[in-house]
Amino acid sequence: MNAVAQRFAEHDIGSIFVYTHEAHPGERFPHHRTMDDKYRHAKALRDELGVTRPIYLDALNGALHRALGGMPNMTWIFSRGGVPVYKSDWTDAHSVGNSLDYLLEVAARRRSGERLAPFRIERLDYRDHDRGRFYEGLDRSGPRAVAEFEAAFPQDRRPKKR
Amino acid sequence: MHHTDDVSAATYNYPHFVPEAFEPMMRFESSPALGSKLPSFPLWRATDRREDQLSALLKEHLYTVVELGSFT
Repeated sequence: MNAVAQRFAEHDIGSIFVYTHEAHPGERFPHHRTMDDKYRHAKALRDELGVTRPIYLDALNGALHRALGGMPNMTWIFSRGGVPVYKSDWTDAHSVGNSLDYLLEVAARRRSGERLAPFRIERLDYRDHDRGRFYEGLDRSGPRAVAEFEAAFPQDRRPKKR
Repeated sequence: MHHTDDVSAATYNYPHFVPEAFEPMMRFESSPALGSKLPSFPLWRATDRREDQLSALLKEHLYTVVELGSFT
C-alpha cells in the first residue's frame, strides 16, 4: 500500500493509515487500555512494518473504525467532499490501485466534457492469501495471538513446514 | 446505515481474540453506502498527537485512500 500511495501521489491522491485496535492481541501487543498504548503500537507499525503513509489514531473506542464496519484491515477511498467512492472489507493494493486508475480516468473524462452520473456496483476482488505470512503477523503479537486464532478457526491452523 | 450504538473502549479493545468479542465488531454489511457523505470524526496524528478532523484531511486531495488496521 505504500507503493500505491507513492504511485498516485502526483495525481493528487492522498493516503493515510488509521490505527484501530489490536485484532489479535498478544503478549507483545496487548489490547489498548489507553491512548498511550495506541500511540506506542502505531510507532511500532511505522518502525517495524515500515508504514510510510501518515498514521492517525482513531478514538480509543474506535468511533470511525466501527462506523465504517469494524473489519480488521479495510480500505476506503473518499472524495474531497467526504463521500466514500470505494470500500473493501479487506485491503488489497491491486484492488485499490485498480480503483484509483478508474477514478482518475473518470476525472479526465469529466475534464474533457463528458457528462457522467454515478451508479453503484458490487464486484468480487481477490487478495493475497498467504497463510504462512499471516501467521508471521500473529507471531509478532505473541504466542497467545496464535493460540487464540487457532482456537477460533481450527480449520485454518498454521500450515506445517515441509 | 451508520453504526451509531455506543461501544465502550473496553469492549472495542477486547483482550482476547474470541468470537464473542470480535464478531460483534465486524459489521461491514451495514457500513455507510457509497455516495453518501460521511460525518466527520476526530483523529490524532501519530507523530505529535495533534487532533485533526477526518473531513479536513479529505479536503486536501482529490481522493484520499484510508486504510484502517493495526500492528496485529
